[in-house]
Amino acid sequence: MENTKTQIEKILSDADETTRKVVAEVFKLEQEALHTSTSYGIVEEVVGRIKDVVK
Amino acid sequence: MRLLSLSVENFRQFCGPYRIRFATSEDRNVTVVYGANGAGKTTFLNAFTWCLYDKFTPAFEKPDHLINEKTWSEASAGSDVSCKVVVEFDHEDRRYVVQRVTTRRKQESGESQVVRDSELSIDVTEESGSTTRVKIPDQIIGQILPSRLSSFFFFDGERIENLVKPEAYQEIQDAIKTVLGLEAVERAIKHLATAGKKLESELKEVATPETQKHIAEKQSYEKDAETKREDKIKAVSNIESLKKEQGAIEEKLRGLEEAKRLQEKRDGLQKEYDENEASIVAARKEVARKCSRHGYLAFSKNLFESVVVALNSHRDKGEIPSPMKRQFVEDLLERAECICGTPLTPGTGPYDKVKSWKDRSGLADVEEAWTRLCAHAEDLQSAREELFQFLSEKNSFLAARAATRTLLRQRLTAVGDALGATESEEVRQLEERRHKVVEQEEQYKKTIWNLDRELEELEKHIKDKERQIQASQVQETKEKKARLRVQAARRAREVFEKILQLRTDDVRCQLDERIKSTYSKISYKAYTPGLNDQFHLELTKAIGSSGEAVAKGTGENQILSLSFVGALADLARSRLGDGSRTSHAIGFQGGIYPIVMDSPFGSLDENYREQVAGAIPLLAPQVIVFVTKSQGLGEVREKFLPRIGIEAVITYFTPKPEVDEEEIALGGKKYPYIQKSGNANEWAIVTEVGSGKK
Repeated sequence: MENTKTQIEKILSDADETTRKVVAEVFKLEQEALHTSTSYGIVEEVVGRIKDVVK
Repeated sequence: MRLLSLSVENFRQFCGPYRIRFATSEDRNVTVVYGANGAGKTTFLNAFTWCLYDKFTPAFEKPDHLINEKTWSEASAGSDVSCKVVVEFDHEDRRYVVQRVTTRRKQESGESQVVRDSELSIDVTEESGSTTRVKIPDQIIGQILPSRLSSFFFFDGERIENLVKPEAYQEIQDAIKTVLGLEAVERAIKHLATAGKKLESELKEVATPETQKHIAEKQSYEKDAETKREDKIKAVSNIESLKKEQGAIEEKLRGLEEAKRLQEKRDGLQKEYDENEASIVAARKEVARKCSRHGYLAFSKNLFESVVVALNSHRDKGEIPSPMKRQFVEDLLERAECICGTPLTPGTGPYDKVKSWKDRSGLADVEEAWTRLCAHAEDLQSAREELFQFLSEKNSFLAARAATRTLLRQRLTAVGDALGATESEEVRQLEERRHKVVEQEEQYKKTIWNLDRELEELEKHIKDKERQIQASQVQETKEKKARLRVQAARRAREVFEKILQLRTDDVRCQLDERIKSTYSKISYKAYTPGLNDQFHLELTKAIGSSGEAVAKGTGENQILSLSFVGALADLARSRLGDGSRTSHAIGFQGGIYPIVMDSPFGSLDENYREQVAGAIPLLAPQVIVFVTKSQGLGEVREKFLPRIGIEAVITYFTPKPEVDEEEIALGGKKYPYIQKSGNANEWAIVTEVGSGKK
């Protein structure tokens, strides 16, 4: 388990800043959507978040 | 989740309102409900799944006929008739009362009109005593015990062995991801892929003609791949349906006097065939593993010999004089005097002679490396011989198994021919249909194989195009930005994919350990169970130092599947305490869950029954079992008895006048088990009969 956590941390630290930001934004979005059991319009929202990161 | 009670009203066989309480104490955690075949055991299991998830187990017939027939037939035209199930449970200091209701209006014609369709409501009572009605009830259940996991905790025991079949692998993989709460990651991967396509279309609008061309080609490959993936899904689904049909035909043949003996012979041969195939697969895997690690040895025959010969030749020529160090020669030249006392003056004969030794003496580390290489070359030579020995043995083994395969195929064909030539028209037709079904299955398997190859090729093209898009020249800022967005979507998706893979593998390993531990407590066979990297539940037996896959009988399959369920429950429990329950961890967060099973002993022989009965109370903190009296009494009840908290009996009222009425004896008392209804209706009632103590 610890090893897995370290490996995940490494994957994230190896990624560039933009990718890390997109990962964080999309993950937050998906968790919120899961909480409210919605999928409607989610892809547009993902596109929007990517555009916010890469302005 | 600790189940407290289940109430049914007008639900299938159960006419009036009935309620079963469940054992909840730690030491007496088992509730046993006895009922004859058709009395309502499966109905109770499906009362849980309907109430909590609005779904039914595969064995539940006519799921759209939920309202009790007697109540419906007695209802007057125009009146509303409802059926209701209520599940009461505790979860983390809260009490939940979950209710699902369906109401139909009886029309003049006798037809039904939907009034309320499967309406769900949940009331939650806090520790303080305050009760509120939940606004989005489906979501609450999903967070407590997700639907994707429910089939592992509420299951039909007779079908649980299906977990070891290929069609269950995806279900197992999904369950693992759910236990880990990885749905958000899965969703992110899926949505980022679609978002990436949208961003790519935007890029196409502003890109150079060259990039546009690459994007168009990539999109064409993707479209093609999508079609092929859909074709594959269809082919897999067709195989599943055909397998079910094949199973049903064989079941019919087993039941026909003219075909029984031959079908049973075929069952035996098929078992042998499967066992033979499993050992071929295992042996091939071993060969592949060995070749992957040591295969290079096969191509190095002359290399080792020539290394040794070259080394010795250099030594013989004095080119690697081990005692003569370069530093030593340099010191002599610097001192201008040989060890024999001869002066070493540059330009003289003695100087040139000693100087020539400097070139001939090797560097110390080079010399040492050569010496080690020589020793290693000899080791590799012997490893090479071992490799050939291993391959030769495995080849003989595989050749023998291939011969057995041919023989078994011939015998299976002969049985098929014999069945196809019987006098019975019915048997002949069934066999003919079976033959066609098997042929179609093979055809679909070939289709899947071809589709896999084509998909591999398309994936390569898509990757190439991705590289070409990134490498093509940027025209202006707009294009640069659009390109960066496509790249960000792709890279983020790759990060999520890596995380998903890592976490899934991690939990698979944890489950594998738990399965081994549970299995060893139940089975008396010296097999080792495992959940392999393809999420297949496997059994292996030790052959020498390696393991060989074994074909599993029904009993072994059932134990293996139960071990998986126990392991999953254990993992869900451990997730509760592994620190993942943080405020931002939305979705499934683990917990303590009951196991509810219908007929877990159906097809097991006596030995297995005792062992499974001994293991079931240990699988989860709360266990509810529905059994017939032939399955649940005797040695099974003896094993259960110390852990039984509550026992209940379903009394079945049959319309058949010729049937013998039956009773069931529990704890020295007799209770009605099968009774005559005395009219054309059938129904059932359930009665709690005691705590199980003698």
